Amino acid sequence: MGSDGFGSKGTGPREKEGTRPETRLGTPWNVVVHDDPVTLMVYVTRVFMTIFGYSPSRAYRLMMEVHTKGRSVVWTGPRERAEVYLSKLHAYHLLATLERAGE
Amino acid sequence: MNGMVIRREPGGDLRLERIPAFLAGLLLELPDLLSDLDPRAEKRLFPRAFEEDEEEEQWRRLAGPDLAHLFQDRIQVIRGDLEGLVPEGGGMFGAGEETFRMEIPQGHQAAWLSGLNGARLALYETEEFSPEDMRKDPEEMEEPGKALALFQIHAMAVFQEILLEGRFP
Repeated sequence: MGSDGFGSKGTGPREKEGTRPETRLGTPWNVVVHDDPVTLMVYVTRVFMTIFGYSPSRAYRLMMEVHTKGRSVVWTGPRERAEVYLSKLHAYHLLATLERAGE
Repeated sequence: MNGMVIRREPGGDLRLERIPAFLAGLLLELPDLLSDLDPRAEKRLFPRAFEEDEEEEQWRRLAGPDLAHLFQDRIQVIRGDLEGLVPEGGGMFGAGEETFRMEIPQGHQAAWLSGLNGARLALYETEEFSPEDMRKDPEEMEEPGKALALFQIHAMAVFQEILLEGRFP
Protein backbone atom coordinates (compact mmCIF):
# COMPACT_ATOMS: atom_id res chain seq x y z
CA MET A 1 0.00 0.00 0.00
CA GLY A 2 0.96 3.62 -0.15
CA SER A 3 2.29 5.89 2.53
CA ASP A 4 -0.97 5.64 4.43
CA GLY A 5 -0.32 1.98 5.11
CA PHE A 6 -0.34 0.70 8.64
CA GLY A 7 3.15 0.51 10.01
CA SER A 8 4.50 3.12 7.65
CA LYS A 9 6.08 6.12 9.21
CA GLY A 10 3.70 8.94 9.98
CA THR A 11 3.89 12.10 7.99
CA GLY A 12 2.14 14.30 10.49
CA PRO A 13 3.40 17.80 10.92
CA ARG A 14 5.18 18.83 14.06
CA GLU A 15 3.13 20.90 16.46
CA LYS A 16 5.23 24.02 15.97
CA GLU A 17 4.12 24.13 12.35
CA GLY A 18 0.96 25.84 13.55
CA THR A 19 2.98 29.07 13.52
CA ARG A 20 4.12 28.77 9.92
CA PRO A 21 3.30 31.76 7.66
CA GLU A 22 1.05 29.70 5.38
CA THR A 23 -1.13 28.95 8.39
CA ARG A 24 -1.40 32.57 9.38
CA LEU A 25 -2.43 33.65 5.89
CA GLY A 26 -5.63 31.62 5.68
CA THR A 27 -8.27 30.44 8.06
CA PRO A 28 -7.08 27.26 9.73
CA TRP A 29 -9.28 24.20 9.39
CA ASN A 30 -10.04 21.54 11.93
CA VAL A 31 -10.01 17.87 11.03
CA VAL A 32 -12.77 16.42 13.21
CA VAL A 33 -13.29 12.72 13.87
CA HIS A 34 -16.72 11.58 15.05
CA ASP A 35 -17.64 8.56 17.11
CA ASP A 36 -19.35 5.54 15.59
CA PRO A 37 -20.59 2.43 17.37
CA VAL A 38 -18.78 -0.08 15.18
CA THR A 39 -15.16 0.93 14.64
CA LEU A 40 -12.78 -0.58 17.19
CA MET A 41 -10.98 1.75 19.59
CA VAL A 42 -7.65 0.06 18.94
CA TYR A 43 -8.19 0.55 15.22
CA VAL A 44 -8.90 4.28 15.62
CA THR A 45 -5.77 4.68 17.75
CA ARG A 46 -3.68 2.90 15.15
CA VAL A 47 -5.10 5.01 12.32
CA PHE A 48 -4.20 8.23 14.19
CA MET A 49 -0.66 6.97 14.74
CA THR A 50 -0.31 5.98 11.10
CA ILE A 51 -1.82 9.02 9.44
CA PHE A 52 -0.62 11.81 11.73
CA GLY A 53 2.51 10.17 13.13
CA TYR A 54 1.21 10.69 16.66
CA SER A 55 2.70 8.88 19.63
CA PRO A 56 0.65 5.97 21.02
CA SER A 57 -0.31 8.05 24.09
CA ARG A 58 -1.46 11.05 22.05
CA ALA A 59 -3.34 8.87 19.61
CA TYR A 60 -5.00 7.02 22.48
CA ARG A 61 -6.00 10.27 24.19
CA LEU A 62 -7.61 11.60 21.01
CA MET A 63 -9.38 8.29 20.42
CA MET A 64 -10.77 8.41 23.95
CA GLU A 65 -12.00 11.96 23.34
CA VAL A 66 -13.85 10.73 20.25
CA HIS A 67 -15.28 7.85 22.24
CA THR A 68 -16.37 9.82 25.32
CA LYS A 69 -17.31 13.20 23.81
CA GLY A 70 -18.52 12.01 20.43
CA ARG A 71 -15.93 14.00 18.48
CA SER A 72 -12.39 15.26 18.62
CA VAL A 73 -10.37 17.82 16.69
CA VAL A 74 -7.43 15.67 15.71
CA TRP A 75 -5.52 18.20 13.63
CA THR A 76 -5.71 21.91 12.78
CA GLY A 77 -3.94 23.71 9.97
CA PRO A 78 -4.04 24.79 6.34
CA ARG A 79 -6.98 23.56 4.33
CA GLU A 80 -4.96 21.78 1.69
CA ARG A 81 -3.20 19.57 4.21
CA ALA A 82 -6.40 19.11 6.19
CA GLU A 83 -8.03 17.72 3.04
CA VAL A 84 -5.19 15.24 2.60
CA TYR A 85 -5.69 14.02 6.16
CA LEU A 86 -9.45 13.90 5.69
CA SER A 87 -9.04 11.79 2.58
CA LYS A 88 -6.78 9.34 4.45
CA LEU A 89 -9.22 9.10 7.36
CA HIS A 90 -12.07 8.36 4.95
CA ALA A 91 -9.94 5.70 3.28
CA TYR A 92 -9.91 3.93 6.66
CA HIS A 93 -13.68 4.52 6.99
CA LEU A 94 -13.49 6.84 9.98
CA LEU A 95 -16.27 9.41 10.23
CA ALA A 96 -14.34 12.61 9.67
CA THR A 97 -15.26 16.13 8.62
CA LEU A 98 -13.56 19.47 8.04
CA GLU A 99 -14.67 22.69 9.67
CA ARG A 100 -13.18 26.14 9.97
CA ALA A 101 -11.30 26.52 13.24
CA GLY A 102 -13.08 28.75 15.73
CA GLU A 103 -16.59 27.92 14.52
CA MET B 1 -10.76 -18.85 16.92
CA ASN B 2 -8.94 -20.86 19.54
CA GLY B 3 -5.99 -22.69 18.10
CA MET B 4 -5.44 -20.26 15.23
CA VAL B 5 -1.74 -19.56 14.80
CA ILE B 6 -0.40 -16.20 13.58
CA ARG B 7 3.26 -15.80 12.75
CA ARG B 8 4.98 -12.63 11.66
CA GLU B 9 7.76 -13.32 9.21
CA PRO B 10 11.00 -11.26 9.41
CA GLY B 11 9.83 -9.07 6.51
CA GLY B 12 6.55 -8.30 8.23
CA ASP B 13 4.31 -10.66 6.30
CA LEU B 14 1.69 -12.46 8.36
CA ARG B 15 1.31 -16.21 8.11
CA LEU B 16 -2.02 -17.45 9.47
CA GLU B 17 -2.51 -21.13 10.18
CA ARG B 18 -5.25 -23.32 11.63
CA ILE B 19 -7.90 -20.82 10.53
CA PRO B 20 -11.26 -22.35 11.46
CA ALA B 21 -13.64 -23.17 8.62
CA PHE B 22 -16.26 -20.63 9.72
CA LEU B 23 -13.71 -17.81 9.67
CA ALA B 24 -12.31 -18.94 6.32
CA GLY B 25 -15.85 -18.82 4.93
CA LEU B 26 -16.40 -15.37 6.38
CA LEU B 27 -13.15 -14.05 4.93
CA LEU B 28 -14.09 -15.41 1.53
CA GLU B 29 -17.28 -13.34 1.68
CA LEU B 30 -15.39 -10.12 2.38
CA PRO B 31 -14.88 -8.97 -1.25
CA ASP B 32 -18.56 -9.47 -2.04
CA LEU B 33 -19.64 -7.72 1.16
CA LEU B 34 -17.60 -4.71 0.06
CA SER B 35 -18.61 -4.87 -3.61
CA ASP B 36 -22.39 -5.15 -3.28
CA LEU B 37 -22.99 -2.09 -1.15
CA ASP B 38 -26.47 -1.16 -0.06
CA PRO B 39 -27.08 2.62 -0.46
CA ARG B 40 -27.10 2.95 3.35
CA ALA B 41 -23.71 1.27 3.53
CA GLU B 42 -22.36 3.35 0.67
CA LYS B 43 -23.44 6.53 2.46
CA ARG B 44 -21.49 5.45 5.56
CA LEU B 45 -18.38 4.28 3.71
CA PHE B 46 -18.23 7.50 1.70
CA PRO B 47 -19.46 10.00 4.30
CA ARG B 48 -19.99 13.74 4.07
CA ALA B 49 -16.89 15.83 4.62
CA PHE B 50 -18.39 19.31 4.88
CA GLU B 51 -21.52 20.76 6.38
CA GLU B 52 -22.08 23.19 3.51
CA ASP B 53 -23.47 21.66 0.32
CA GLU B 54 -21.24 23.66 -2.00
CA GLU B 55 -18.08 22.60 -0.18
CA GLU B 56 -19.31 19.02 -0.10
CA GLU B 57 -20.04 18.97 -3.81
CA GLN B 58 -16.57 20.27 -4.58
CA TRP B 59 -15.01 17.70 -2.25
CA ARG B 60 -16.88 14.84 -3.90
CA ARG B 61 -15.87 16.05 -7.34
CA LEU B 62 -12.20 16.32 -6.43
CA ALA B 63 -11.59 13.55 -3.88
CA GLY B 64 -14.44 11.15 -4.62
CA PRO B 65 -12.89 9.37 -7.62
CA ASP B 66 -9.57 8.76 -5.83
CA LEU B 67 -11.31 7.38 -2.74
CA ALA B 68 -13.51 5.14 -4.85
CA HIS B 69 -10.48 3.91 -6.78
CA LEU B 70 -8.54 3.16 -3.57
CA PHE B 71 -11.58 1.33 -2.22
CA GLN B 72 -11.74 -0.88 -5.32
CA ASP B 73 -7.98 -1.44 -5.26
CA ARG B 74 -8.18 -2.67 -1.68
CA ILE B 75 -10.97 -5.09 -2.56
CA GLN B 76 -8.77 -6.52 -5.31
CA VAL B 77 -5.84 -6.87 -2.88
CA ILE B 78 -8.05 -8.82 -0.47
CA ARG B 79 -9.48 -10.94 -3.27
CA GLY B 80 -5.98 -11.78 -4.46
CA ASP B 81 -4.77 -12.79 -0.99
CA LEU B 82 -7.85 -14.97 -0.54
CA GLU B 83 -6.78 -17.03 -3.54
CA GLY B 84 -4.05 -18.28 -1.23
CA LEU B 85 -6.52 -19.38 1.45
CA VAL B 86 -6.15 -23.14 1.26
CA PRO B 87 -7.14 -26.15 3.37
CA GLU B 88 -4.42 -27.61 5.56
CA GLY B 89 -5.51 -31.19 5.06
CA GLY B 90 -7.45 -31.90 8.23
CA GLY B 91 -6.28 -32.92 11.68
CA MET B 92 -4.40 -36.03 12.72
CA PHE B 93 -5.67 -39.09 10.80
CA GLY B 94 -7.82 -36.70 8.79
CA ALA B 95 -10.24 -36.28 11.67
CA GLY B 96 -11.54 -33.07 13.16
CA GLU B 97 -12.76 -29.85 11.64
CA GLU B 98 -10.93 -28.73 8.55
CA THR B 99 -8.64 -25.74 9.00
CA PHE B 100 -7.10 -23.34 6.50
CA ARG B 101 -3.96 -21.26 6.08
CA MET B 102 -3.10 -18.10 4.23
CA GLU B 103 -0.57 -15.28 4.11
CA ILE B 104 -1.09 -11.54 4.23
CA PRO B 105 1.92 -9.60 2.94
CA GLN B 106 2.93 -6.59 5.02
CA GLY B 107 2.03 -4.21 2.21
CA HIS B 108 -1.51 -5.60 2.12
CA GLN B 109 -2.33 -5.25 5.80
CA ALA B 110 -3.79 -1.75 5.51
CA ALA B 111 -6.15 -3.05 2.83
CA TRP B 112 -7.24 -5.86 5.14
CA LEU B 113 -7.76 -3.66 8.18
CA SER B 114 -9.66 -1.08 6.20
CA GLY B 115 -11.63 -3.76 4.35
CA LEU B 116 -12.65 -5.51 7.54
CA ASN B 117 -13.75 -2.20 9.04
CA GLY B 118 -15.67 -1.34 5.91
CA ALA B 119 -17.44 -4.70 5.87
CA ARG B 120 -18.38 -4.39 9.55
CA LEU B 121 -19.77 -0.90 8.94
CA ALA B 122 -21.63 -2.05 5.83
CA LEU B 123 -23.32 -4.88 7.75
CA TYR B 124 -24.23 -2.51 10.58
CA GLU B 125 -25.90 -0.06 8.19
CA THR B 126 -27.56 -2.64 5.96
CA GLU B 127 -29.06 -4.56 8.88
CA GLU B 128 -30.04 -1.30 10.62
CA PHE B 129 -28.43 -2.24 13.89
CA SER B 130 -28.47 0.17 16.82
CA PRO B 131 -25.51 1.04 19.04
CA GLU B 132 -27.17 -1.09 21.74
CA ASP B 133 -27.22 -4.08 19.39
CA MET B 134 -23.43 -3.91 19.19
CA ARG B 135 -23.25 -4.89 22.85
CA LYS B 136 -25.52 -7.90 22.38
CA ASP B 137 -24.74 -11.53 21.84
CA PRO B 138 -25.85 -12.68 18.36
CA GLU B 139 -28.12 -15.25 20.02
CA GLU B 140 -30.13 -12.40 21.51
CA MET B 141 -31.22 -11.26 18.05
CA GLU B 142 -34.68 -12.50 17.11
CA GLU B 143 -34.18 -12.51 13.34
CA PRO B 144 -31.76 -15.20 12.10
CA GLY B 145 -30.41 -12.84 9.44
CA LYS B 146 -29.55 -10.22 12.04
CA ALA B 147 -28.03 -12.83 14.34
CA LEU B 148 -25.74 -13.98 11.54
CA ALA B 149 -24.79 -10.42 10.59
CA LEU B 150 -23.99 -9.54 14.22
CA PHE B 151 -21.89 -12.68 14.52
CA GLN B 152 -20.03 -11.67 11.36
CA ILE B 153 -19.43 -8.16 12.74
CA HIS B 154 -18.01 -9.57 15.98
CA ALA B 155 -15.91 -12.25 14.26
CA MET B 156 -14.39 -9.72 11.88
CA ALA B 157 -13.61 -7.48 14.87
CA VAL B 158 -11.65 -10.29 16.49
CA PHE B 159 -9.74 -10.85 13.25
CA GLN B 160 -9.06 -7.10 13.02
CA GLU B 161 -7.68 -7.15 16.57
CA ILE B 162 -5.46 -10.08 15.71
CA LEU B 163 -4.04 -8.19 12.75
CA LEU B 164 -3.62 -5.01 14.81
CA GLU B 165 -1.86 -6.79 17.63
CA GLY B 166 0.52 -8.10 15.05
CA ARG B 167 1.39 -4.50 14.18
CA PHE B 168 2.47 -3.47 17.66
CA PRO B 169 6.10 -4.06 18.60
